[in-house]
Amino acid sequence: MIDEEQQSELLLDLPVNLREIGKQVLKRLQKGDVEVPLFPAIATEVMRLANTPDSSASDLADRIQSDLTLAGHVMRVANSAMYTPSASMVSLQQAIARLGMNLICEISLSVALNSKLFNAPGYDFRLSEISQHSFCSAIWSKEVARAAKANVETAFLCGLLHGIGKAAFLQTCADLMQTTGKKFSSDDVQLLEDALHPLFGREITNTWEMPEVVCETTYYCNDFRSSKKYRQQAAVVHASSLLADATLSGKDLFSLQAARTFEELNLYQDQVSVLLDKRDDVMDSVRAQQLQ
Amino acid sequence: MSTHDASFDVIVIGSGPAGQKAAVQSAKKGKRVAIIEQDRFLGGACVHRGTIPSKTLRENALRVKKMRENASLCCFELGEDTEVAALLDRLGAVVDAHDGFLARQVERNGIVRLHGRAHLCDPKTVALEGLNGDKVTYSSKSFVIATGSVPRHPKGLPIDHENIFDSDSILTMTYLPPSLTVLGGGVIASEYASIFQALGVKVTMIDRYDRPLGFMDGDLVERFLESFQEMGGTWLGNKTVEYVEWDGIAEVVARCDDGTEYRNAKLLVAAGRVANVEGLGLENLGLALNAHGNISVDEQLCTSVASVFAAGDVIGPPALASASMEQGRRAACNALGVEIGETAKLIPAGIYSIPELSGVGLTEQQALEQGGAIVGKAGFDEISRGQISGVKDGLLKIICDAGGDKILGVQIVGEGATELVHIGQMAMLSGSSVDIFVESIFNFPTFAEAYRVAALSVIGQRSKK
Repeated sequence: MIDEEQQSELLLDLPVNLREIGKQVLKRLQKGDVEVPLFPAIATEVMRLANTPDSSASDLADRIQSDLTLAGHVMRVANSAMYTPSASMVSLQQAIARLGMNLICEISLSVALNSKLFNAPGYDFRLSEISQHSFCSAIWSKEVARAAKANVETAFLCGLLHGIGKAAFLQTCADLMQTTGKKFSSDDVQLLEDALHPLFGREITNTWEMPEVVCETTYYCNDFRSSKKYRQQAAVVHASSLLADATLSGKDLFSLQAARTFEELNLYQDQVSVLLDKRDDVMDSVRAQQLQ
Repeated sequence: MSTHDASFDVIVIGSGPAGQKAAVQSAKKGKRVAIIEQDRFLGGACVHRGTIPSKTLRENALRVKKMRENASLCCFELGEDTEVAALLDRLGAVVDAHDGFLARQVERNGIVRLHGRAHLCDPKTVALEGLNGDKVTYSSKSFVIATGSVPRHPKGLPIDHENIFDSDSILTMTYLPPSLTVLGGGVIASEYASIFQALGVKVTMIDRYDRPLGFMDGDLVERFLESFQEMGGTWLGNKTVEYVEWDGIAEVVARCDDGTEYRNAKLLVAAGRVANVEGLGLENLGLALNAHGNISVDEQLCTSVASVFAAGDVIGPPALASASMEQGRRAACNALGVEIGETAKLIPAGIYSIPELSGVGLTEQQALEQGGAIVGKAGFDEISRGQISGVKDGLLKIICDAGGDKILGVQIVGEGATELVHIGQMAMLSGSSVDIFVESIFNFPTFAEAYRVAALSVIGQRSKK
């Protein structure tokens, strides 16, 4: 966690009206009093898939891969000492290959039954946005990793989970607003989220004992040059996050052609063009996820 | 496009073994030299995706194999899902050391390092495209193309670098999968299949030929296969894979033409390599590729364009790092009109599988086809060092002419083969009779003793004639 001096600096960067709530959010984070909530609809869907005899294993695998909070929880349990005492699994494929689909199904069911469900009236849409952005980033991460000759499987998980701190922040912030009775505009909440989510992400991924690469990229995805060990992977997630922003907002991707991240990944302009041409494929995957 | 005022005597395109030697050789002759590399680091695929990383992994696989074999000495078990990074633990240091060494060598020799992609415009000009798309042209009296090779992707195989890999992307895998299908029976396929099997991955090797490494003698390949299968590997020859698919959950399905299906966690396509010439602009020079997709060169390593030379994998076989280095050096000398000796004809081949295979000169089969041969063999189980080290699956063969005197070739399978072969190579280069191995004294106990045993066998057969 950050020390008091860093905390003061962080709070001073916030607008005056947000410093107190920011302080309280950080206090909760310091105490480890944060949870990654699951969308009630996701929990219901997992229970349906797990209990329907004619649903296929790939349906459940797809469902897990497409939701950041569900994927995060499943990977947390799969990586726990109970299942893999000496391993640090970096993808769902690895977890399935190691533990088998039946066990993954049991874990998913347990996650769906035991996780805190998202309960922040007025912020459902934001959580939905975060979830969609994470999935879109994950799909882009695969494409960027392929182009940059990096590991594709890990890139997907890092892309999917890089926004996990946002989901946890949102729930914590909503809980605090409910407790204190104070209301903040969505712009203010967004400001707080932008400033604090990397800390939440780091806290969660560390507490969940996620693989080191996931912890680092979650924290450094917006500042990949500061990552000492996983600079390339952090750059992959950063590029993917930019691409997801533009894809989901309908912006022209070619404005990103000159992004420095692509230079960092040693991608030439024609390679970047080939990458950007995958927009329709990525959107198809995102739409398919929405239909699930 | 802007025109740079810099002009050079030699511009080398590519910084792998051939390019690096070409650049250094040119600089040593006092010429103004530039080296173009599209990657951020020097060294090419050899350092970053091929030779060096795979040999580093192999070294650790050997350690793991040895520890397993010596279970009575130490209680050892390789953890499930071991991260490949842990098995490549020294790779970062090895690659950094290599990169640092190359960078210092380039700097020390006053070679201008250019980061970007080369497009040849005409026989004297190259355009360098930077990452931001800007292009700068440079002129040079001559060029050495040393752009290496890239994995061949057979049509219909959906290589996604996630579950279905090629030989460049296989080492981006972050963990050891429980099982792996290897398509192919060549050098790269055999190396990776045996390395991963030694690491405990359940490997299934599938190829359309009846045995792998068809260019090596059958008895050596038999030893390799025995060792591979003893470790738990499966060899499936005479099978053509028609269809490959990721099942969407945890396995890659490979379906063969006979209807059989093999499911493993990952799949490696090792279908050889092709010259890396995309975007080089060879068409601007009127340079066409030959039937094998490589750049054709003459004895001087010169292409059909007088100012353009080529070396390394880009000109095709033998496509060995060792040969590429020498080709690079010779290409540079020829480009500069520097007198050099005759090209070395005797190039050893090394296959870094587990166990290693290596050969120099003729195989037994080739020698028999050329008019007969006397072959002396020595199994490592007959050698004291083999017994001491527990390396009993080795075999050394000396192939002599029909008179049993002149050494035509040496073929070896077993640990240390790639080093051991050089003794035979030196004997051949010096024109020595096979008797030299009996008349000379080697350290004892060493694997070199196999030369003496094989030579005695040749002499024994010779005297019976």
